[in-house]
Amino acid sequence: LIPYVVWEQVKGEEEEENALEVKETKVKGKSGKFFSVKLPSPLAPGAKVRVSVEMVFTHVLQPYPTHITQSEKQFVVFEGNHYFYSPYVTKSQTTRVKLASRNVESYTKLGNPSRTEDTIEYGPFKDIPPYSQDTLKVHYENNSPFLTITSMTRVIEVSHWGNIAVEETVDLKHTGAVLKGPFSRYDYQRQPDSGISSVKSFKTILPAAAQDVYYRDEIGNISTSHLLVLDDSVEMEIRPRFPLFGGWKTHYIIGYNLPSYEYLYNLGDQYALKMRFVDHVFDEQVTDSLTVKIVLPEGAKNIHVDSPYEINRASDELHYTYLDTFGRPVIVAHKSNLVEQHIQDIVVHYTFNKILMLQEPLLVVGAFYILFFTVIVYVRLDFSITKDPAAEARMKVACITEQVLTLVNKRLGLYRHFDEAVNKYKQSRDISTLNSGKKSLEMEHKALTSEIASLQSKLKTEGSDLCDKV
Amino acid sequence: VYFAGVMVRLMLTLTPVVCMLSAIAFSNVFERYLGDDMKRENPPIEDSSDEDDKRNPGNLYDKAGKVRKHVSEQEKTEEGLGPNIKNIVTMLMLMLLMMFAVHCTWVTSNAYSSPSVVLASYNHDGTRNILDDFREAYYWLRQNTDEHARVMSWWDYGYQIAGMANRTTLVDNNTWNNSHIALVGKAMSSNESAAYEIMRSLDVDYVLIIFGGVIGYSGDDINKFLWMVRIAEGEHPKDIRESDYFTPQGEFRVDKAGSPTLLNCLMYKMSYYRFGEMQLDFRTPPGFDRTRNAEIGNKDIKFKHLEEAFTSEHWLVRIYKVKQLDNRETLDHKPRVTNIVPKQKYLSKKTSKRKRGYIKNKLILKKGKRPNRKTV
Repeated sequence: LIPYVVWEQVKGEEEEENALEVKETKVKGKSGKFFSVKLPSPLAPGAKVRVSVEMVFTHVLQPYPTHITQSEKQFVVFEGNHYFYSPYVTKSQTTRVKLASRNVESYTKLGNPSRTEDTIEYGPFKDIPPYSQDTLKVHYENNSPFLTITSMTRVIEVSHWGNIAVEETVDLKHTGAVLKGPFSRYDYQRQPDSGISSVKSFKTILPAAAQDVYYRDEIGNISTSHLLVLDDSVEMEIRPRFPLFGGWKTHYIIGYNLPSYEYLYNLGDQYALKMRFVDHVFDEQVTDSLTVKIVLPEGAKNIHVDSPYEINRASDELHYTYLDTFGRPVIVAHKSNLVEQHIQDIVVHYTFNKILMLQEPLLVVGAFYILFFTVIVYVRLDFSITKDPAAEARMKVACITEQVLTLVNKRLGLYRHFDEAVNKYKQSRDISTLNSGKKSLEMEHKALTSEIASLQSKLKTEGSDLCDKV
Repeated sequence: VYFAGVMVRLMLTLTPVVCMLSAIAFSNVFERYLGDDMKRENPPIEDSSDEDDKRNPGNLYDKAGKVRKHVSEQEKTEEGLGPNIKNIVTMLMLMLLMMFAVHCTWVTSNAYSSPSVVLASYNHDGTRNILDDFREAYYWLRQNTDEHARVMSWWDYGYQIAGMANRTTLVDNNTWNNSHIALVGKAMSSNESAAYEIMRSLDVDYVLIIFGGVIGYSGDDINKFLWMVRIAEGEHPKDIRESDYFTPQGEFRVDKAGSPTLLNCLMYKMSYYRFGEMQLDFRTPPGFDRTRNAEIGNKDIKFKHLEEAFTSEHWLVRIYKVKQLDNRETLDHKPRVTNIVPKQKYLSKKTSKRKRGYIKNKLILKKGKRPNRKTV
């Protein structure tokens, strides 16, 4: 695990909010990483400016001894530089090393350092030439948890129906001194200082609106966790299934739902998703490799990603899930060596036609429609191989009787008309209208009766006894 | 019905029988109480519709009404059960059915479906305390042991280890190879050296046992131990005898009065390693086994070939690692010292003639001279 410069940030002393622009450069003939910083205003000769530089290194503390038993304390070695490695002359410099505990085994003594309880102060050194290096080595006790996330996968699934689902798969490993020998549960529970460098639990801070949080692994739900909902965040105290000693690893999956109105912004058809690239897992976290997958709804086009720092984008994939026809676009990004300072927002811009949102319900409706339609058609089809004469005759008879019924009903209607005409005559004593009405009615009556008679004869041919009833 | 009565777990075989019988009973009841209403009411309605003649509506309506009333009056006098009682009985039956469904779901969720992998206990204030020891230990095995490690345990946990811990086991729930299980049983019931030989021959890396003494779990391996002994005795009657593990009075005891074979066997040592120092509460002495309700006999346990690899939070699952053979085997006796200088120098009394290796009457030959023969 090579020490690696992970994070560089330069701030001007006056304006604490704004960070100055930092770019990586190269200097000919000298090894190491060089950065160029842009000052807010040009510096006049003889003028002074105060700058503060913050650098984070990972895997710099090496456990020494590398293997310890359960009852021993953990000691680490820090190797650094006494002087400030810069291309400029340093007039005066002090180095202060702040340690995690008071128990220091050994430290390099350059320039008579002074030592308080947990800090060692070297200096002040005067007039140091540029590019000067001198190894600083401190061997001290450090029992703070040395957890590393060896690999983490973060999947963010965006749905325009109002929900964003986030799932993180985390592989944790204890990278401190490796446990040698047996693990005694009795000592661990009864002796207070047994296994002090082991990790029992840690706190994960989730976004404030997180709901339906689940914490599980390959064999099921992990029951040892506590959720605390606060005003501005959701704190989850996670206890891995077993305490992590040196060299032990574990794996878990944590997931939650977020409302989309907090993270998804839109103007017409243009949408912007603003979410954190990596989220808080535990304080002062170190992630060796991270994969982020953002699943956008079907039909998202013109995808454009704005990230606050360099990320490696792999090619976009397609993800198929419920009610998908042509797959959802997935943005895949990788990054290695991340720390807590990398928790920043990443913005994804895309266009999405709002009509496409109807695609999902219409798909369901269409499926049911086809199903019912097929059933209706199928029921009415006749797949019999032989012609069954009796059944056919019955069907014909049924058809004819239906026709007879309609005619009889029409005749009944005629009677009603006749009744109405008679009533009118009673009221108006108009014989002529009565007679005309009567004639038309009688004509219709005759026509209907003849039709009924013809149908009756047809029935006779069929040989049915219904004609008698008629 | 017989099977369900024999073994509680086979209650499922009773289900179709009970369902059919109860369905017959309910349908009979409903038929009696609902069917009669419909039959009686149909005829009067039909009569009235037939008589509804459109030609002379006025008169006939009255007649139909009268007819209907007459029929219904007759009906009332004939039928013994009034509509009220029928309603009450129907409602009662429906309520009974609904309550039964609710009761069934509650009973099955509470009493019949406790997953034996996750143990739950309830505190005084009703909150649930979950003991997830099994999954803790299996997950530790899955993450922190070599992929090809072999785990020896009793066959009850074979499938669980294969499924959750993803490691090779020696014997599992598919108990078709009885002699193999007997070998495992023999290893568990012999003393450490003999068991180590068996474990080396089977190439075992880890040994897993269940120990319920801290929480009072009664399904642990010490309670199953006699079965291990019996199965081992079936295959190796000369090495394992069940009577060795009982006291002279014939009891199975784990305290000081227990049999010495039991107190020195591998299963006992693995279960109670470091347990003798543990005091669960101030009323009981250290090393008090809650399941057997006895203070254990052998408290000072030391292992020569095993090493404790992992114990779960409530000591339910204990995993031991089998150590490799030492590079050099230690001698049983003290090495012989060969550089002792004797205090006195002993002078032999034997003359040159009597010393060992001296040939009597040896013929001395000189070249050129005749040997003198004393005796011819």
